Amino acid sequence: MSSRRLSIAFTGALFLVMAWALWEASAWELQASLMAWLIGLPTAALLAVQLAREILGRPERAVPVEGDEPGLLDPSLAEQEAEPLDPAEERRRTARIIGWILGFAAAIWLVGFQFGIGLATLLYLKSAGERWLTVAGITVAVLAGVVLVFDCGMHIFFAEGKLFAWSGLTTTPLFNSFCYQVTSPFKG
Amino acid sequence: MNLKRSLGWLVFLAVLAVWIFLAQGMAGKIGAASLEGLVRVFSWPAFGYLLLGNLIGFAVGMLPGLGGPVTMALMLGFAFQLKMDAVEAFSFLLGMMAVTATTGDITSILFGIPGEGSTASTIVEGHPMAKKGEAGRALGASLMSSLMGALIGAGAIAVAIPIVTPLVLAMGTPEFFMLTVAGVTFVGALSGGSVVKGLAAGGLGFMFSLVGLDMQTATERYTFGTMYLWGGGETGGAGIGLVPATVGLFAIPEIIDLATKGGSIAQAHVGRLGGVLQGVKDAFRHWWLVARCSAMGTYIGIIPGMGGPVSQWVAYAHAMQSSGKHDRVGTGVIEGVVGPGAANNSTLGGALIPTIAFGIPGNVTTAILLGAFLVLGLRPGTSMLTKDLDVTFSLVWVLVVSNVITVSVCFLFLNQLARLTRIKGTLLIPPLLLFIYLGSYTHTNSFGDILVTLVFGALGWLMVVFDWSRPALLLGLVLGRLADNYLWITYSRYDFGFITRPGVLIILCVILASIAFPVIRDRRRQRAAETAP
Repeated sequence: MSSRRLSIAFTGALFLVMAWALWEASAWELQASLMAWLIGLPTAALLAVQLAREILGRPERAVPVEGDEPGLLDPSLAEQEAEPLDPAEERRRTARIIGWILGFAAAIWLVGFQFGIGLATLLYLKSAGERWLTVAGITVAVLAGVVLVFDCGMHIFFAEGKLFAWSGLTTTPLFNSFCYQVTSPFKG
Repeated sequence: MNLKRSLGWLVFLAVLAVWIFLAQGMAGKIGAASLEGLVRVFSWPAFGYLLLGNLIGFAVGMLPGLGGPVTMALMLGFAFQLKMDAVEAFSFLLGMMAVTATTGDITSILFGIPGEGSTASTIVEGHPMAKKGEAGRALGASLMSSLMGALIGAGAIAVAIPIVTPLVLAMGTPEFFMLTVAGVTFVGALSGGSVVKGLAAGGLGFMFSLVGLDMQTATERYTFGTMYLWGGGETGGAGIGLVPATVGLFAIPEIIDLATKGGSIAQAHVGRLGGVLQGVKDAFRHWWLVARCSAMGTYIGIIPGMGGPVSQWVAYAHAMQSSGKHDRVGTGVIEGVVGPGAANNSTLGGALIPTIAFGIPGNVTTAILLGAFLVLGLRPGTSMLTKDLDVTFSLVWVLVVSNVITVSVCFLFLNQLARLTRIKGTLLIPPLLLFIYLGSYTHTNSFGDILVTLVFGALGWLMVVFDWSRPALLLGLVLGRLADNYLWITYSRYDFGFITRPGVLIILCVILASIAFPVIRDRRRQRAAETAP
């Protein structure tokens, strides 16, 4: 799909969300819906205008702005910019990082924060071609940060990973006991 | 020319007279609040948090690809998790932001890559100086002018308080409702790009703020029947937490950008840096230029939607024009380093003025900070200029102390600091993702926070791809709840007759002008571009 079509699809989706939001607000009493109507109606109108513009092929033209980019003031600076990426490579890298962002979230959901972050960090760094020493160092640092600073230090409640919950296992006593061992000398 | 200058002096003297008149009645109160603010910043643990914030800001400023606003969004959650009070939280958050522009100049000068978006102009003259072997001199000049600019910007807040206080005290609920709308409109219309898209993004932000259980009528608004979206979190009942949404909107697209562009961290080798003292002398030698550029930075900071990325280039253009060396652009002219250095540091002080007084943030950073105000129970406007004046002054002191500490540390460890920029981009991604997920998770300690971050991350990324204004959406989300309350009180009391109040009409005119201005400006530029040979 061309970028224009994608842009139209995005604006169209926003317009549909806004139309649904207004329809939903029609069922509420006045106090709850006043803001939705007062702001929602003009917003829906603006989105409709934008959508019409994009469909009719009249996107706002680029307006030259003084000092908008360094290259306008100093041509030599343009040379210092990184070379533009091949679009296919850019798409591949974008898909890869989006996959990793979702992967980190999935790992946290499945095995909990402490193990999930550690595991995902290890896999990410290894897949990026880092040396084992670097991978191990950063993974340990990240794990130590989560457990020592956030779990033991700040007492953030980390929910159990779904895999552990489903299998009836629990990691909370393990981390609680570890934190107790670590922090007890400081508590005197 | 003489008439113009005389008129300028006349206006300046008139403003000074008004200020002295207004400040007279508040002198004692301002003095006491200022002193209390200073004491609170130096008290423990606030000072510890300030140092921690400075340390993080230091690294963030120097590392290309990592922006100050993103880091602020990431750290927002921890400020609340640690149950910081207002001064502690601002020591940490503002302490972090206050130094990013200063250390960002280091990367710009040494490697020709902007450490921060607001330090790109320093490259034009600073990097050629580094290539000529004058990196130390450029850094000395940049750091000292940054410090001077930050001090002037911080001073501007203190000076503005007597002027804005009577204005704010004269306002009622209808005016405050209009101000929230004005804030979103300014950022939507003036932050560049399409006005229609900017305003629509602000409207969408307002609509997102309605998600949750309406406390007055117990109406479920856009909750899909899920308890998580009922809210009751830090945004006063709002279903969508400010922290997970902010982290998603700003941090996720940055991570994608960092990973897509590959390692953006500098790879070039830098030798030992000398001539720093000469640079410091240069900044003092051009003190009048520093003062002018700082004033410009402060002024641009006050205008919503502008900020560091604009002020640096305006200051650069002014510095080169007034130096009489415009034929030597890009050759390493010291004025071109001193001017932007001062301007981009004074901008934050300027941007804080409308944020504190009217709840209208000048830029993304202050939009996020405004969210922090609300979460901490501070209401911009009347209370921050009266009851919480000491907290307001603590912001001024945080700016001053942070910059003094940062510039001193920079001078002491410049050579060691330059090595920070050699960290590979891929190594940063796991710790950043950790902070993204942890930062959002701390909102309610549920996986729902992470889902909100992912949803807003996707939205933020699409907004970047299709050039929609994220700050406008965020500001709508931040101010939406306030606006909802103000609107209902206003409607209950005045019905729609509130629209005829003089204050409301004035703000309405300003809103309409802010929408018309960029449209007219763009048409003129377009016409000029079309008629140009």
